[in-house]
Amino acid sequence: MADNHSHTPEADLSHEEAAEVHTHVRHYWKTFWVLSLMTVVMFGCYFIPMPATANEIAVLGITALKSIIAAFFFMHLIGARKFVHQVLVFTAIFAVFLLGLSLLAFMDHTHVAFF
Amino acid sequence: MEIPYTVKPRPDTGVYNGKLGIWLFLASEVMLFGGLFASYIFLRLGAPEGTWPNGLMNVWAGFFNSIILLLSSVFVTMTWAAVKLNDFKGFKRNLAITMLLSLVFLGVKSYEYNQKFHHYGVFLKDASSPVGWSVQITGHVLNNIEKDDHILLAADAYQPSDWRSAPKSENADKIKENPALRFALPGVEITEEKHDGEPVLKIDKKDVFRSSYFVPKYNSFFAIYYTMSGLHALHMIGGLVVFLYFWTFGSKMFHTHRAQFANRIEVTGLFWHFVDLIWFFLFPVMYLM
Amino acid sequence: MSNVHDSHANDHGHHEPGFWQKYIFSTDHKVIGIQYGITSLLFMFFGFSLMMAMRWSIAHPGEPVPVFGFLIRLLLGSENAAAQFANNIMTGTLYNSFGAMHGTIMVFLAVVPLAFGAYGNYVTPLQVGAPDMAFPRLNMASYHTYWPGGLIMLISFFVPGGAAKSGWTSYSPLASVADHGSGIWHIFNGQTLWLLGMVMLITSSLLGSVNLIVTIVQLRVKGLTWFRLPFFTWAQFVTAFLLLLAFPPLESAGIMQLMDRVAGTSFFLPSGLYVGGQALDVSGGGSPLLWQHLFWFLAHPEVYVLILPAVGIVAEIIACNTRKPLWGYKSLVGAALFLGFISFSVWAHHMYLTGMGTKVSTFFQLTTVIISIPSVIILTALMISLWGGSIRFNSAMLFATAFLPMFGLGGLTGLPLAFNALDLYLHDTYYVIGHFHYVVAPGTIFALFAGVYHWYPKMSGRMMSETLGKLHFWPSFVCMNLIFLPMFLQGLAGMHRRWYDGGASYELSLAVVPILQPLVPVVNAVLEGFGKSPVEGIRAIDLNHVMGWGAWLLALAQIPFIINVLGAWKFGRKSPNDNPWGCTTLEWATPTPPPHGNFLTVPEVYRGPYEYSVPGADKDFTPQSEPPKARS
Repeated sequence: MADNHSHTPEADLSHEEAAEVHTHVRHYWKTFWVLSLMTVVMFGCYFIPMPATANEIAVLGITALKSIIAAFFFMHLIGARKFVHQVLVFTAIFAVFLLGLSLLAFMDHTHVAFF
Repeated sequence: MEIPYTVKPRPDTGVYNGKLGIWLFLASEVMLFGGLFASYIFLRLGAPEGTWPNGLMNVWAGFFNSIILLLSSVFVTMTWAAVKLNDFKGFKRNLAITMLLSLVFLGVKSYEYNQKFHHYGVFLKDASSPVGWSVQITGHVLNNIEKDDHILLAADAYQPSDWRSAPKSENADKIKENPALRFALPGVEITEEKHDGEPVLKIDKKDVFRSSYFVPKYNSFFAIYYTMSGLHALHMIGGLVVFLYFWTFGSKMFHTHRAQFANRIEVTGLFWHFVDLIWFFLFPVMYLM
Repeated sequence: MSNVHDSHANDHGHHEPGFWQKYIFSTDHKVIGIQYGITSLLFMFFGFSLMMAMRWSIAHPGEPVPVFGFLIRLLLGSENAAAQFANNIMTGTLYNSFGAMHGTIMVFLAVVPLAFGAYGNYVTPLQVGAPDMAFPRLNMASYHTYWPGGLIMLISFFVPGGAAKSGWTSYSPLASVADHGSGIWHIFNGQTLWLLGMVMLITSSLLGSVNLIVTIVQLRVKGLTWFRLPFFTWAQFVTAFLLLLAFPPLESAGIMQLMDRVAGTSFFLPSGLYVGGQALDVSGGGSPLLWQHLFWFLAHPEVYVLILPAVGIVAEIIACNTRKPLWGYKSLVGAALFLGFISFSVWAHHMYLTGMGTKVSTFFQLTTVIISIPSVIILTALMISLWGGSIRFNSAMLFATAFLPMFGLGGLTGLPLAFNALDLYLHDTYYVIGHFHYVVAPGTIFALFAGVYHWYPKMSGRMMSETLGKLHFWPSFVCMNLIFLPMFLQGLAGMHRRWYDGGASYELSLAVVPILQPLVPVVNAVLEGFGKSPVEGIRAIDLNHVMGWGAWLLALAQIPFIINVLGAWKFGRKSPNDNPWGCTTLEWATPTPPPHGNFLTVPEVYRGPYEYSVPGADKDFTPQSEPPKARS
């Protein structure tokens, strides 16, 4: 941990550590290009005539994939321990479950006219 | 007194304090935007058939912003890498690009909001419709709507409340020849004038069910759109303030405690990636669906 | 993010922090904990006073408030007092304000900041052996976001129209349209200020919960594994997660309600709404039920936020004052974790009457009944912990022991409410009020009092007076039951909640309560003594008088406590040593009071948290950080 008194600058990284950072940088740029491509494809779907439901599924599906890729590479979740991955998967399932539950409860109401 | 694991990660958890802290904060942010997205779903599902608008957004501006924000996300990772590699010039350059890109995003957003605030929409009364109106006509207002008893609208679009299910109009051919005839509706007088190539309509206030500029109160769609994109923009501004601090006064720490500084940049970067993630969902949901 | 400057200053003694940095803008978790403690107790006193005014209106509707009317006038300012408190008589409008603010203040400004902000901040870092919280400056920020939020709530009494009056639940459409003003009063009205205050409180809570979780996960000392953590720390850990994840949907709902009020949106306003005979100029198309779902999504986990720190405190006190380990430590931990998790899936049991279908209602009914199981496990484990113990009934233990049956009664009375069919009758009656007050008032608040008596010697180096403690306990215990037990009878009789006249205009509350018939001769004897005519039966509405007296006497019973807390700081008997109660957990292994940085040397933990009366040990407790005896 840093010395509070003398503010000496820290030593440069060793070769291995620097190489690791450069690997990260390569991954970041690769991720950027992949995500950009996916964004273009998703935007393109808007102009292709298709049934509304198919359009919604395509667009949201691509978005979901994009967010997983961004989380794993930009946010470096790929380097996290297995426990973290398990927690995330569980959370995603629980979130879908909660949303579904609320939707079910809510759909009972939309049959009642508010106005 | 030193708080342990501020810089070096704790062995059994594998993280340093700030990283765990920001992930927990992001979890709460997911719940925040999740609540808003859930509200979007409920509002849209609960809206009467066909009243949810479509095609009101500038999709090209949204697409442009998506790429800009994605680019700023990659530049914030470059900023962190530069700190790790003890490259002060690179750190300053990459962080400056990040901030510049986010300013471009916010600039485009301001332009979009401004366009919207000057756009006007009129809902025409229709007592036979379950929602009280049958058509909404949008465009730009040309007169003083407070004083006059009518609205002069340079119309650019119209959308019937049953647009999803309505059969094709019988006048389809006539409309092809003269697009202004779209607006041949009860209560609407198509004047001879044109404004910027668009037909000018005269609508008496007594035929109007509701009307307003494209502000949050216009309809549920704009309400949720402005709320969510506004909250997102506020988060961007917050991130921008933090970046600015690191670029100016905070950059001293690069030289004194670089490892800890790298951690701070990483933590802020994680927040920034989250802001980008929210936009991943906002763009298609608000603009494309 | 360590506070580099802080440690710099203290390591060299360059400059002693001045008054402002030491007591107001401190980053020391102990100072912040005490700040939370004092502020929350002040808010609790204020919220209690609101309730006493309400109790007067309920028992004596239309009669001027005696003696303290002038205080209410002061609070309201002349304009509001003329409109809502003419001749010192509580109008329905004022009653609604007091009701909404009593709930808001007690839940968000008093109990949670005390249970989580004060106790969590003060005790948890000590119990895990940390020198401070993981993010000391964030901690300071969380306190300085909390009290301004509270101040905004208080100011709202004074603005034209008075404070929010749409219930602590702030249901739309009423909450979206009430109290609209013009000019700056479009924003600075009570209902909008309520929302702004809530935004600040939620922010404060968020900062605190992140801090606490990171502190527990990252700053545990060597040897302090998860299953050696004191149950108090586990309880605070689960509480922090509830706050972290459940509050944001309410924040999103609050933002939307703010937009409804200020920007004219219709998130929660249905179409075709008329207010005061005028159609609203809004788009409509919104849903009042959306607000309810979002609100209760937070507010249900919130009640477990109210109770978990309390059971944590009680657990510590019971272990220490029975001189034996807690029974079922692993069950307690498992129950707390399960409780936290399930609490996210029960919220719609507050919405049984909103027209949900049978499938959805059945689902929530099931989860609600299931969630009673971990609560029972926790209570049972604590009760069994008493068995065979060598019990020392100091003031802390009195309150902690009383907590058990009181919380038990509160929890058990919740079960009928869990059932959709029963709730159809009991919803919005006094039964509900009785249920939740039992868990929070003689439940949580007793536990919080117990905590004060228990940790006071560590904080101050002095012992509180046991005599004053007993004077505080016994009347409080009796009065709590005097106030809240009759509520069940009133509720079962059908008496509605949130009525300012205590049910005077409602026929069912004028009906005689059959179960109380045996008491009629006693009541008549008392009435005769006061020269009043005898009655044939005790009506639901008559119970209001008993409850009113209970409230007033409960207020008086707090005086010994206030004297004790303030007086003992200077005049209390000095604590004989750093660990007067002989507890095993790490917070007792510091000097008294703990200095900045807490421990003189970083402790190491060698055993579990409740090693009391270990066979063969030389004393009846073995502290967690005491090194094991070297084998000869």
